[in-house]
Amino acid sequence: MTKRVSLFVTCVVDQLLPRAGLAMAEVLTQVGCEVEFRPAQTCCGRPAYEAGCREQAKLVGEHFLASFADAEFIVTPSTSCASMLRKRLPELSGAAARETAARVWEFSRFLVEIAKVDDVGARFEHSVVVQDAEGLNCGHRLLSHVKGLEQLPLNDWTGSGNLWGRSEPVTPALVNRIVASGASHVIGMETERLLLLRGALQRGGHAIETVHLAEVLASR
Amino acid sequence: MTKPAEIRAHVLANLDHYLAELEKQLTGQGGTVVYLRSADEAADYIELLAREREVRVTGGAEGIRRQIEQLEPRLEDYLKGEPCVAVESVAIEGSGIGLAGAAFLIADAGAICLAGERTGAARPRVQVVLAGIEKVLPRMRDMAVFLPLVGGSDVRFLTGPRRAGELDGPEELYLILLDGGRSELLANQEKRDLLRCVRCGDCLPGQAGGRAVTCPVAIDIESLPLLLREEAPAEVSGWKFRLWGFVMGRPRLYEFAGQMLRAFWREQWGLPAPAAKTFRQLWREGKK
Repeated sequence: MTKRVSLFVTCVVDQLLPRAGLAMAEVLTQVGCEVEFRPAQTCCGRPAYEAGCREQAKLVGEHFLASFADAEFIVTPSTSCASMLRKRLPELSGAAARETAARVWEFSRFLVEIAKVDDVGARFEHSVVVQDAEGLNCGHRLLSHVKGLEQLPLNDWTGSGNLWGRSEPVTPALVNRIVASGASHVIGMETERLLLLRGALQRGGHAIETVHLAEVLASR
Repeated sequence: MTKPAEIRAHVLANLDHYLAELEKQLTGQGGTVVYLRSADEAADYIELLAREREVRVTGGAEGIRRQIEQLEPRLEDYLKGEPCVAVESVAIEGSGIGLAGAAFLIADAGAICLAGERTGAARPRVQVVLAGIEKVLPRMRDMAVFLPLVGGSDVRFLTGPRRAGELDGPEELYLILLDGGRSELLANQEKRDLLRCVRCGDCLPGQAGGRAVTCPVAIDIESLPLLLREEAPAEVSGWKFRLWGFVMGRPRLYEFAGQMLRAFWREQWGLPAPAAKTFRQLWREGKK
């Protein structure tokens, strides 16, 4: 049965990384979903939540809930916004939010767990390194079927990311290791982190591109 | 290997013991250890050191105080989301006196660990190190557990002033142990665990990125730092977020704000520039 997907592109993708949003829509359409975009959407409320302004986070969260009240599957390209909506919003807004929040899916998880696709028929002939600890299982599964893609190891990292299962902060040391890996592209599933990396790589004068997973899966 | 949380809890329960051990060791190695209550007191102390050595200090005690607050911000401020600036070492007037903030203090070795991004920092004649009293760790081998948490490409250990035959190191070493409300925090049952913090920065806004973060020293980061941030959201972010919330609840206003951002974008902001067209513009165009 055709899945009806409503895109929640997030404010970051809307304003700064629109190509990732378009690629996501393309991949979802291609795997047989019916895709819509609701222009009433804005943000998930995370910036305020993290800064301790719960009231504002709740306000914006409720705008999200109103915008997506009757959506079947809400798919978003950001791992962190997905977790804000699924985990934090119900804390702020209670039972009403829980029901809608459970219909929010991070893009790669949606493809693997709901659309049940591993191979989207993509071709991406580049050597890449993959960033992002969260959402990696589904991401890796999808990437393993991409033709021409060579995934390079990013030297062992012994910092807190390995010990505690978190993403490594974007430090000059990380940038150096990305450069040393010889990759031409960095792939990520967390949009803010992707932007941080892009900024750091550009400032260092490195010609390594940062792309969202969706852009890789949409390329032929 | 003992877990970081256990080590930190143990230190806080025996803080007086480990501070005494640290002081004994470091003093034995020729360093000077002073306990001061606040950044103001520390600034006065450092100004006196400078005056005794006839080093001119730009900005006077007030300038020093500002540097101290950068190096050793109040723990609660830090957890509220105002991270320390990654300054490892600040020099007062050239090569005379250098100020640094410690990452850790190691009791058994009487050592000070400096960790930061800065490399090739000035090696001053008189080295003053500031540290909150909570920074102490029992043994040198604990560094194997804690150093990876704080990162930083430049890590140095100071164990006292330069000794005969040594190639470098300061001629004088002062360790200022700052209380700055920490003993009060230690007495507060609800909040004392905050002192376990080693400032790895993973829970800070931006770094946390909404992920479920596991605090390496088992501070209840789901509630404690957020509680602090909520108690006193920074003055600026207070009105900033009210405005932000107002805009984000109104799609048309949000779209307009995005266009304004494009119209007035300045390279100097050092932020990634917005794309020429937003997703929603491209989507509308594609649907025509």
